[in-house]
Amino acid sequence: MSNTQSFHPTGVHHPVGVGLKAQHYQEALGGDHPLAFFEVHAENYMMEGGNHLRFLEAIGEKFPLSIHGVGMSLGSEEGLNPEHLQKFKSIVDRFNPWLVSEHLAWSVNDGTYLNDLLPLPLNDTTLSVVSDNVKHMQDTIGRRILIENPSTYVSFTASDIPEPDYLNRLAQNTDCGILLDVNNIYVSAKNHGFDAEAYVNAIEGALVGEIHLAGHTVKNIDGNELRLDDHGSAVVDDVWALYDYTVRRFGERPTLIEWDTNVPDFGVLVNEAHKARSLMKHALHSDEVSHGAA
Amino acid sequence: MERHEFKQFQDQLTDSVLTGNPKQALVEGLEDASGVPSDKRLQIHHNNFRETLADGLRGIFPALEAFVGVVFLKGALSEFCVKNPPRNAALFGYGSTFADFLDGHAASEQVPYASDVVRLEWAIHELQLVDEQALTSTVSNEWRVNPNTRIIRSDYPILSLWSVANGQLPPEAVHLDQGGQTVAVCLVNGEVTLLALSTEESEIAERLSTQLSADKSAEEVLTLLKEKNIIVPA
Repeated sequence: MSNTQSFHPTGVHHPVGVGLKAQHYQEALGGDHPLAFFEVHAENYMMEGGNHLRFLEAIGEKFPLSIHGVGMSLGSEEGLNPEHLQKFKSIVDRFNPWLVSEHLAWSVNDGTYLNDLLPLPLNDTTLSVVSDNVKHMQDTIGRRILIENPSTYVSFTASDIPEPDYLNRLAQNTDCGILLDVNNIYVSAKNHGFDAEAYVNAIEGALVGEIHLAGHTVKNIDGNELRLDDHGSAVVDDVWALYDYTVRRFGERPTLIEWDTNVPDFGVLVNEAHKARSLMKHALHSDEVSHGAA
Repeated sequence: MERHEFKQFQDQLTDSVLTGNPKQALVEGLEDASGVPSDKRLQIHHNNFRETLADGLRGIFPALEAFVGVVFLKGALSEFCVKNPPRNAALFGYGSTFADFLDGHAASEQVPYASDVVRLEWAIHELQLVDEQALTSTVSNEWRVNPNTRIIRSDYPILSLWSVANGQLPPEAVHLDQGGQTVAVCLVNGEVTLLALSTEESEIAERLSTQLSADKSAEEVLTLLKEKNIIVPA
């Protein structure tokens, strides 16, 4: 893959969106907001029928959608669940989303779904597994996908590839793109003590097709801090600063506000999205922007 | 790391997520971390597994929560999730066996109606997510239970209990020893409604759920069930 153009809708500038929550269906559909797109978790719409699907169809007719998977388990050694993959394909076929994405993580082992985005050692063996799974997913759904960097709490002695390099190589192996979650970078950087800006610098900017922003929580364990990616609050200032740094470096990218727990009023999400849009616009008019920087 | 070692790693982390007790081999494979020790960091995944699943299921059972309280319900759900982890990443079908779990749950013996309230609430949840089947007005001498209907039979007054939890009845209007109720949970034009069935109606409906005909003597009850749209031509 040489650039991000295939991930961009035509005619949309400074695209910002929010994760779509059931309590906001009516306001999203009403259209009295500046949002360019909505993102949904694929797994929440795999049912046979009902109001959730009806609302998503209606909203999808008015706004571009991003389908974000949380259960494909691309890091599973046992490969992908064919039934889940077919359901995912059905969602993509039905809603024809603008963007499709999943995670650099695993959540299924021996058929048990662990309902968490679990970390994996980053080395050539796991890169081969994840690459095969990404290719399988892309071939099945007939779409290029974006892979999101995780937030992590542990690291492994069996890891010998830095995460940004791992993502770059995964994209080279599979022709996928990268969904850069800036909050995840910040959370992991704080938890493991690395430089968040250095992480951004190591990502091949041309591969980045979307950016995620979210809030996180700080947990105190025996007097020590650990950051947890819970999507339950506003984006913190340090993450806004890292986002500003990222868009100055990479330029305009579709940006999404995620807020999945303690979900606030729709207006709060719109305000967060507005802030992201302002930062992106400002960055685009700055001399510091280096589009697609490596 | 060889591929079989990667599989071993995933087996070990799976065990840790499910039990909260990481094996030594898994802990030895973690990088030393400053600040919070690695084994406590691993615990986050066990907590995420239990709490996110239990929180998701809590939303399906608001009536039960009104009777047993948040702490009891979350505790029972956490236990259920650990003993019955999901087999599917699409979680809308997860929790269908929670009622059966409560039937064998020692701590729930004090609330013997709980499992039937769960069955009722699960039926409401399930019908909100199915594709409502179009019913053709076929002329037939045989009848079946409406495929858009679920029938929940209980030795407890579950519809009254559900109505108390939803503020539609005052608590003093319901007594556990007042006798059982059978409830038809019906999906009609996208809306789920609840109907109480008489003993005769529930017996006929139950018979029709396993066979397609009823005795001639049941004609009167059949008429009532037809009028309520609980049975339809087979």
